[in-house]
Amino acid sequence: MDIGIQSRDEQIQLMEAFIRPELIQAPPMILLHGPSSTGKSLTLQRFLQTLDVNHSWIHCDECVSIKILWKKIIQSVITDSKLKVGNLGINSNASNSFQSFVNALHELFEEYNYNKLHYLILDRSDQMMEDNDTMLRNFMKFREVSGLDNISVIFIINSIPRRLVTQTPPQIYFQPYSNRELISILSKEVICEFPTELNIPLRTKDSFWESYVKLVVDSYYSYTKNILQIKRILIRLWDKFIEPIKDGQIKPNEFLQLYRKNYNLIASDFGLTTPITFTEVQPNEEDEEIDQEELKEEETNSFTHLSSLSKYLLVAAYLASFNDSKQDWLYFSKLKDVNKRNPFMKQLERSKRRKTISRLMEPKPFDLERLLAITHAIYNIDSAILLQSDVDMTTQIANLSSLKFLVKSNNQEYINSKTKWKVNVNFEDINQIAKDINFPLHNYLID
Amino acid sequence: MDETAFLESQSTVYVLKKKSKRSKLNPETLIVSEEGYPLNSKTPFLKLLEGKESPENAEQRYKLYSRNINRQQLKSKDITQNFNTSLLKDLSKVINAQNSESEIDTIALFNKQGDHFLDQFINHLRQNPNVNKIITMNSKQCTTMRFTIKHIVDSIIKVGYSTKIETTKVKNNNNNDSNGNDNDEDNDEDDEEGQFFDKRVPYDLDIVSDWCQKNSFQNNRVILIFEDVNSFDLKILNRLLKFIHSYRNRIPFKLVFNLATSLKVFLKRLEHEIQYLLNFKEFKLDQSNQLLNILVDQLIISDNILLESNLAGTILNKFKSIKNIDDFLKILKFAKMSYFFSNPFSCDLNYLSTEYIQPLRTTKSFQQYINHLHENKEFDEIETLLTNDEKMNELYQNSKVEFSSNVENFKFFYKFITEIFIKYFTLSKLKTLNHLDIYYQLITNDEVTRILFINDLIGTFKNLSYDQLKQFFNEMKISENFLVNKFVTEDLNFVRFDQLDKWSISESKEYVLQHKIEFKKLKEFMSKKFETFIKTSFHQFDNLLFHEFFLICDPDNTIKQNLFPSFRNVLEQSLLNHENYLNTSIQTSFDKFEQLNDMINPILVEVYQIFRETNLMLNIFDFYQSFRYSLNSTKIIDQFLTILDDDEYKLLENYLNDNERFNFIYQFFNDTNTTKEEKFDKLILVFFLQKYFKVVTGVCSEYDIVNVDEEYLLSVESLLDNILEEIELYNVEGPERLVELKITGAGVTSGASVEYEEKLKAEVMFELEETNPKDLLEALDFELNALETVDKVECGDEVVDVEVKDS
Repeated sequence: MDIGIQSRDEQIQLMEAFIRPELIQAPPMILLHGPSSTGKSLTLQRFLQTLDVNHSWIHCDECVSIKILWKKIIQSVITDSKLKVGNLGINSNASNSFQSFVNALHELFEEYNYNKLHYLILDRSDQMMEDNDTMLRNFMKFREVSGLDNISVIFIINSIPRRLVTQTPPQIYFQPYSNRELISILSKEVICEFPTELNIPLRTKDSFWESYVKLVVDSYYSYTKNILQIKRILIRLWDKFIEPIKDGQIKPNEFLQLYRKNYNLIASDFGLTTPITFTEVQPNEEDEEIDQEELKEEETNSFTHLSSLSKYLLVAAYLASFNDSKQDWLYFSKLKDVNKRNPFMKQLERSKRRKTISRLMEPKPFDLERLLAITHAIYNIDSAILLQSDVDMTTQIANLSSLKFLVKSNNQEYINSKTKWKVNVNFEDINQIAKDINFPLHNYLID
Repeated sequence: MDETAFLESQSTVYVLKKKSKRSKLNPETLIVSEEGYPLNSKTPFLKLLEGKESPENAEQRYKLYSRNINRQQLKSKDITQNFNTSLLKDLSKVINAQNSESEIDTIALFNKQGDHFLDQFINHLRQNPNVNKIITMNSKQCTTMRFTIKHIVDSIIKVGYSTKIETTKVKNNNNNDSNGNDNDEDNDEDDEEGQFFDKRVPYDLDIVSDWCQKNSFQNNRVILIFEDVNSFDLKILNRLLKFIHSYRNRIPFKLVFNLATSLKVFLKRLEHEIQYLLNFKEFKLDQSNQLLNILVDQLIISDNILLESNLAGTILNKFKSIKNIDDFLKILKFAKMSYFFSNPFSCDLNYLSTEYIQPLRTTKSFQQYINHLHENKEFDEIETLLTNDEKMNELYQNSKVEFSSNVENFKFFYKFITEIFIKYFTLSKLKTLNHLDIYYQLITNDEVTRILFINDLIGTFKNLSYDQLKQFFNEMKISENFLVNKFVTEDLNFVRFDQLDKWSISESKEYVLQHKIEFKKLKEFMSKKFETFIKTSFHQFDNLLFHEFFLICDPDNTIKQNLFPSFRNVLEQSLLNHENYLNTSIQTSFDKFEQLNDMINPILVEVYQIFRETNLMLNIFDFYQSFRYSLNSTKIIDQFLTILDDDEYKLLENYLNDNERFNFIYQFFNDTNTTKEEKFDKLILVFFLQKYFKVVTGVCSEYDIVNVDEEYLLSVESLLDNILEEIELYNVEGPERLVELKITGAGVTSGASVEYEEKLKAEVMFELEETNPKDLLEALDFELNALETVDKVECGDEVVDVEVKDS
């Protein structure tokens, strides 16, 4: 059967075998699974269209709770079964409980004497917001539980849920597209166009697109096999990629040269970033010059909005999270009699010998007092200005925590009233902040 | 519900609520801060000058204050509301544009200006004919998905069902009880509410999409404003965005994120998938400096009373640190309130009666003035001033006039800088200054800062090119500024640029050279004049007589301390005056707990008070001894036992059912072998150990390990080091040591029957000097946490731990 879908022949054959138009041959449940954007929904949709059988398509990710799912099922069963039900509004009790939902369906089917085969497709059934387990429980053995013999449930799901592992319904697996398949699918349809004023012949356009797709898929295949994501990358890179052609430097048929020119573009993560349209407000023209300078600064540093105290707090929090508290005295104490504490030096060396870089591990929780102590110690190292600890400081900590830069961990000890905190900013950003406040971060980190 | 949430919901939490202490002030007898008497009327101000101020004047101060504040509020509102018009236009463009097919337009507002912009934006949106619904979402409302969507549905379709719910709910509950229905409340609520939305659950977005279809809005928009998108639960936010995206074709959504960080930083927190669903348009809103400039000009400079330099510096620093306009306005308001509240001279006084004279004589500026007279050997003058009130009155009135004329001069000079001269700042390092900066640096009493600033000003002037100088001169000429006019007409009246102009455009080299020479001469001449102009145009406020009364100032740092109180001070103060936090009334009532409270303060407070009188070098055992003997042992234990035995409370009887508490507490108190004294000793030791470490670490943690003097540092650090070592020792030797100590030290278990007194001393001496209190405390905390409840019952509570959790 040809339904116009590439590289999914095996799955279509399986569908032909399992999803039958006759009631007797239809299984009570079928499972379509595979990673996202591998064509599960599309293939099934096309297949059911050619099959000419009643079916209701439910997007589970749009259902906040199971009640909404029940309601949606009844509604779409009514519309899709083409029954002439006068009142589309459903019985108010229909979505109260599973039993009343089943009863409502029973009543409906009996009243209109509907016993044709009806496929119920639960698309993205693992992405329901709540009650996911209840949903599976309800519809796993729907025919047996409800006694509605003419309904077959088709789950579309990313991976098989635990509940269904021991069941053996017919499963159709959609494997991720291979490199070649991706290229052939994507190059079939030209998504991005050259500007019309360039007057590039259609043939060149097609061949150019093909090589462009090949290049992008080859470059990014190890990063993602998701066809939608690759499509986005194609679109994102396109304008920058063809810039030399627009400028007239390179002709469209000199693809290799163009690739060489754009090597850095492909290698960078530009294709993966989110496009942002940026507007800076400038009411006074006089200030334009200053603003632009600031803008440049802002582009490189996205933390300029924080106050300097907050920056110190963040750096201190990072140090507290990634340094061992035993070594605090070594880094932050003004006392230099290191030899007196030999056991600690030994320990330090031992910990240095360990190969794991703590930066790559999860940040460790620390006491608030420790954060404050470290902040006091590192505040303005050069100028030796003492930090005044006033309410402002606690406010800043609260602010940072509401910005989710600092995370308060759950304290399960009731006796010890201390709170434990963690830093939630990665090393690159902290490094940037440290540079901003002229703090030699590397001197204070263990590794 | 996950495990932690469940545990949290199960734990008992005691919240101490202080009874309102605000009793009615009796104006006849009550004196506030030994300074003022309350007024009879509703005016919250006091009669100052030890109550000698006339009530009319006090009332007038209040009136002046209210008028001033009203003016500030109106003006600031006016300014902020009309500030961002161009930005609003840009925003409207995005709102009016159609959404693309696959993405939802999202405005990311990087808002550094404060909350007022959002209000302004919402008001602006209301006027937009395309905008149909505006929904503001706050992270506090949106704790779960259901609530969030329900909030959206509710605000779009305002069905008056909320009143009906009340009635149906009652019925519903009745049904529930009789049927034994095990559905939770939440579900039932949903059902009932559902009936008002065509029998649907209230968190069904289909309701909205149907509503949109019915009303068929082609161009209309539903705008979702996330007020504090940074504080949203990310899990919910991700799901919500995805959910909204799936409805994009049915409901014309536009999203507005009010961000507190740049979008880049925020996006790191958002799921990658979700980012592709939204079309981000970032707007940066950082004109706080420009806004501040306008506010300073309109609120501070145009006011009759200026800010004193130190206060201006405080406000400036605060603003530089957080750049929040709302905050700035609030501090300004507080400063004004403090000025009018505490300064009896703040109302307009044409004649000073005697009670005003004495405060005048105590001011620093008056003393300086006397010194000055003394140097000039005008002894008669001094004597008359010190004895004759009339003379003082005269002096005051004169200095008032002088001061206000100086203020006028200053204002003119400030305007000259900010209106004319500031345009040439771009050439120098002054360009980053805002108006508050300029204000502060002009009047600061820090000589170095001010001279540097003035030098910068002169330097800027010297760097002007010929054209700039000409332009500057012309601008000064046409300026309406009185001071500048005077300067131009008197000092520079003969300066002409005509000849120089001719030379400059001439082609002859000679003339060009001539031009250069002449220009240099002219500039040098003008620079000198300019320098004297800057230096003489106004006097420093701090040098003027009675300046303390004519400026909004902060002499005792009250404003600073109230707005940014130091942490440590607050902590110490609250430990010393726990009555402010805990309602332990002094009047002895018949309540037995009250009586006990009367005998003993919260343990933490008691320990702290001893701690304050000693230093950290004190041996812990001595510390314990002084603590123990500072308490009235017999009275306390008697009261304690009476409370425990009291039939009314039945505290001990309750412990019979609890195995652990029975072992630890019931047996201990009912043990006839131990005397009252011993019981008291044991109890007090436990209390002491519990609180001691809290005091030591709590107070020390305020300091860091570095910035304290050497002696202190050694002791704290060795203490902390000891802890580290001890923990390792503990690991080696095992817990026996602590258990032993628990038995002897705490004496709550049966192990206490050994010769207690001797053993205790030896053990405590040994343990406390060798061990550190932390281990001890932790072990004791774990083993004897049951006693915590006794502690709670008996001592009211501690100051720091307002919540005591029952384990």
